[in-house]
Amino acid sequence: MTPLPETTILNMGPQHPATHGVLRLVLELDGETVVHCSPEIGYLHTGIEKQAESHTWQQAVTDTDRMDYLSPLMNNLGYCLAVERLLGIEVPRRTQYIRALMAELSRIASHLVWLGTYALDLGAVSVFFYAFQAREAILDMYEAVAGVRMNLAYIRVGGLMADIPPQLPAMVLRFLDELPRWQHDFRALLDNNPIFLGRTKGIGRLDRSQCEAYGVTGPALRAAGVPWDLRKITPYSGYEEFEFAVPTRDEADCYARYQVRMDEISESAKIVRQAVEGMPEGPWRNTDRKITLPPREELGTSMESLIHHFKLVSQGFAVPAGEVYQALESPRGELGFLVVSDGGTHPYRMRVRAPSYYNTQALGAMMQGELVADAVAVVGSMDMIMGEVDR
Amino acid sequence: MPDDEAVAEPTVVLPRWMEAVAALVPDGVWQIASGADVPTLVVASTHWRGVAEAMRDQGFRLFVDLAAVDHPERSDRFDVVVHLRDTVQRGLARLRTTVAEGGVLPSLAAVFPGAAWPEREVFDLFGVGFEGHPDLRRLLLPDDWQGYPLRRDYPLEGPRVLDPESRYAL
Repeated sequence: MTPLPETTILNMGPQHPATHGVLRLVLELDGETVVHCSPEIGYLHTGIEKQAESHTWQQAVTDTDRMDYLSPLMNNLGYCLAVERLLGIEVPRRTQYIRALMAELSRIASHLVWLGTYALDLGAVSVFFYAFQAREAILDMYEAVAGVRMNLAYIRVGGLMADIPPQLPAMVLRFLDELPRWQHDFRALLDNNPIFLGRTKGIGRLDRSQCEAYGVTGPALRAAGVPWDLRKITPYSGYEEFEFAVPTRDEADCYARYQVRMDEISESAKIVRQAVEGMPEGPWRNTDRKITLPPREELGTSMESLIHHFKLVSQGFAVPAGEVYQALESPRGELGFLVVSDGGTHPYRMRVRAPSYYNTQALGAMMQGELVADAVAVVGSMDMIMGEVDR
Repeated sequence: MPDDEAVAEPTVVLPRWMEAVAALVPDGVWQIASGADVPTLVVASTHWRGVAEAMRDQGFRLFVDLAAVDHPERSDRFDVVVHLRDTVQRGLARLRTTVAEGGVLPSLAAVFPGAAWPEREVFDLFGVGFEGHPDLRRLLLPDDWQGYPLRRDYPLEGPRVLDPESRYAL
């Protein structure tokens, strides 16, 4: 008779409510202790990088939306910045401000979803309702600017889909006035909650050198004491004009990641206020007719505009051959686009360096030696979006 | 062409590390392109791991990404590109090498554990092998998938979709 194995294999997911999508964790357990954890991904693979190669440069913006669906504008922005670098064009200052404004709103929205679902994972149900109620105001702003609440494709190569509507500044300022009260409520529910503290403090540690070796960025790296934020390191889209701090913590555990994200909501709110109050006048998109569609009203009177319109819609614009790596700070970390052009009207290659991909890979290292009950707390603290992990 | 002043990453990566790496692995570095959008070292595939190790020891400890680009018209058809960051000096660097179809690269997973998944992904979607990889299996696609979808000559609707024998066929 063969002896029983000393460890048990437990499958968590891919259909588990706490895996936020379709992540499967193969846990090897010795009693209740995790000896080895191996994340398995690919359940949500939709070939987005391949699809982008069959779309024109402008159409590929819609592919990027569908990766990190909780902050689609970040994906739009990273891709558009990369293509604009290949094209060698600048966007007007107003466009930069609107982009930063919408990107920071989506960072707040994304952190709010994280907060609600993380608390829910740990058994605090009411935070979820409050966080989603607060996020609702941002989705209303999305709807006001782009007409939809998800997959906006609002940021386009060379500019935006449209200018912001006149009612937007008032909506944003009203939300900013309400936000501190929401934050106070969240903190009142969690900061000194003994169950929440017991489940997050000292759990899932990942120190600086491990973060770097595994490519873990974003709040997890900042929670390990590194003031690493690409908005400060390599500013893009006018971020050098805004004043904000980079919150860090030293404990490198789940609780530190919670604190970093909570502080980031306040810092993003500062940027949003500066962007709204300092919004420059001027054009909201590039005026190069080889790239940007001419205004609709010109089509009836100008033959040249009609030709530009026809060329842009039927075949798109060509992008000079070259290769560019453009990264930005998404709510989850470094979101990078390696975009290669062969001089044609379609991307030759669009590689997406998704922060969640590397954060998910590091779960194996974080889970080692933890209790199986803490697996949920560790997974949630990394805030992964399976749409961008599997692409 | 892009105006370098306006669009280049504002971090100034001192060429010091480039010289140091080139000196450490003298016959491994083929080309130094400091004028690219990211300072780039083009590396012989045989010295791939040696250069990556030298880069890590120069301070580029944050593993950013590993990706492949397919150029089917070339004899060494795959570009493999790695991006690394230095979180102290705030630099970004790129390593590039080429591999032929059916070729194998030394795995970087022992140097940067974060390279394990992207190498599996490149193996999965391009069919590039990695020698010394701890667990080289397909990452995103099913284990019995045939073909490498991110190759340029792989059709958008793949054979798996059309093959009626496949258990995944509709």
